Amino acid sequence: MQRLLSPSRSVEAEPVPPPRDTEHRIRQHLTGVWRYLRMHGANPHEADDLTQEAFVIALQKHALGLDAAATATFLRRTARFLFLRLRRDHREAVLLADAVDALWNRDCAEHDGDEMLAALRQCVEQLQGHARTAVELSYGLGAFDPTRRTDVAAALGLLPNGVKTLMQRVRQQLRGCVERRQRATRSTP
Amino acid sequence: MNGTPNDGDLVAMAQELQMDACLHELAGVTPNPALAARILEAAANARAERAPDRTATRHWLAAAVIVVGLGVVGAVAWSRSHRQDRVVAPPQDPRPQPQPAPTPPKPEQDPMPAPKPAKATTLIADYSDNRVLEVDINGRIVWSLEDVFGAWDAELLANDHVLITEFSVSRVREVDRQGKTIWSFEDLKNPYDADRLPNGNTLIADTFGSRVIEVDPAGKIVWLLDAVIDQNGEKSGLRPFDADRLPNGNTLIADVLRDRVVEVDPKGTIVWQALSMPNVHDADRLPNGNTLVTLRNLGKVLELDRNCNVVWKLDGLRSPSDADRLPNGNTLVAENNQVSEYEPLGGLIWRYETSWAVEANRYPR
Repeated sequence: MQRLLSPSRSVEAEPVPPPRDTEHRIRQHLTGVWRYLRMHGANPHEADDLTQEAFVIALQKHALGLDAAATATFLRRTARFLFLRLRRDHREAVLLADAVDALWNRDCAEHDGDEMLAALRQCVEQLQGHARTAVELSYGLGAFDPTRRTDVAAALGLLPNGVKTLMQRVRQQLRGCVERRQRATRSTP
Repeated sequence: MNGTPNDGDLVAMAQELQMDACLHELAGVTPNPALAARILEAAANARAERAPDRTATRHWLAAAVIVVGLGVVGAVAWSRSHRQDRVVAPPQDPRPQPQPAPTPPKPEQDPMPAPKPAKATTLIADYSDNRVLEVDINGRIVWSLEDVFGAWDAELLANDHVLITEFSVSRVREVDRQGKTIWSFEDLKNPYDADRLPNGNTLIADTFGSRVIEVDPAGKIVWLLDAVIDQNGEKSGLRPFDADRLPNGNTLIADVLRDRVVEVDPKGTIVWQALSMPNVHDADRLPNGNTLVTLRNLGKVLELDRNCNVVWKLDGLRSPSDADRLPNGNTLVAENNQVSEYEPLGGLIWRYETSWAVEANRYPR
């Protein structure tokens, strides 16, 4: 077998001359739409693809020219439609999507979730002991790589089901912390 | 459940999803850095093609079929067009359809290409419809399996079972023709590809588990590759979208993490690689030693020689995620809303409409 040590020829992307304001608007809303899809349960790859599809529809329907709030609403509605289509519009999926939307409107609508993420980062830093280790290992936070539940269990001296229960509890604890922080931020004049 | 956001179960599930997504994002799971560029490119392609809405198209086509059936053409013609379902042109029709201009030079062909099979079926993994279907050359569905969650790969096995990779539920399973699960492996994280090997084991591209594994029938992992070693002895991780075991025992991997295709020996040492392969979804080693690679975002399928020269290409495709060189020298491509067969000069000779085809394999019957 021939060993190839030099890079291959690059494959150039097709040149696309986008209007700069269009690119700006895409970047302005991209993370919000992607995050919204992730909160609905889309995995990262699905979120990438559905975000792309939602923006293409928005561009075709000239929805990026609306004011920012209206554009965001259009994109989220389109993303929701596409996501539920992917889940074949099962009744349970629609009901869950309604619940996720209610949470989004309550927690994330103002800053596309940036505020919530900032609060969560602070809350994770306050965690201690097993709770902190479990979160860091499970999600790959800090210096850790994401770790399988069985390996997290081994690291903590727990059974895998014990890790599952621990993580549910920690997520509830984090949610409480985030809500308290967001309330405090909003009540600050 | 009453369906309102105040319902305890629903709210708890929604909260779990929200927290899970946020924690992953804190850990660095963020949108693909190239996503904005991808959107602009896709929008430009959409403008260029300006395909009408598919649902509207289907309604229009249905109406057209009715009109045809009412007597615009004869009953025989109606019967034929109706029987051919959604197939645009049968492979027997040598007339190429209008397509992106073929790119010379002509691909290197096997010296003795096998004749086109008189009968063949195409097995399609339709990600969006959550199903796997098998269609004959006239577009008739001869078999299908529903509720395949995130179908990303489907391979026909020698025993006529089907090996299915389910991305959304992180599972690879072998099913019989009644849909009964004969074998499954689930210790995975959103896999994209699985192949049954001649020794009976199964090679799996565990995409978001960042590894390629070989699993024996008892479910034991007998080979695992989570990093590859370059000529300097340095290790690097991978995100495999496709993995094939080659006849020489090496493994060919489409690694989207570093936009490359690598051939590694059993110890993980790179013995061949093609770099600068953005968003490579599939890589197949051809009988002539060349490598067929599928670049989804660029809409291209390239045939590379050993020195990574592009000796043949198809471009202007619609987000292709899989391409196979057929024994007749044509190339079968799964490109989102259609599965297409292109002859060497780039002419489209067969097409089957889908919702979101991500993998297609042709089998002689």
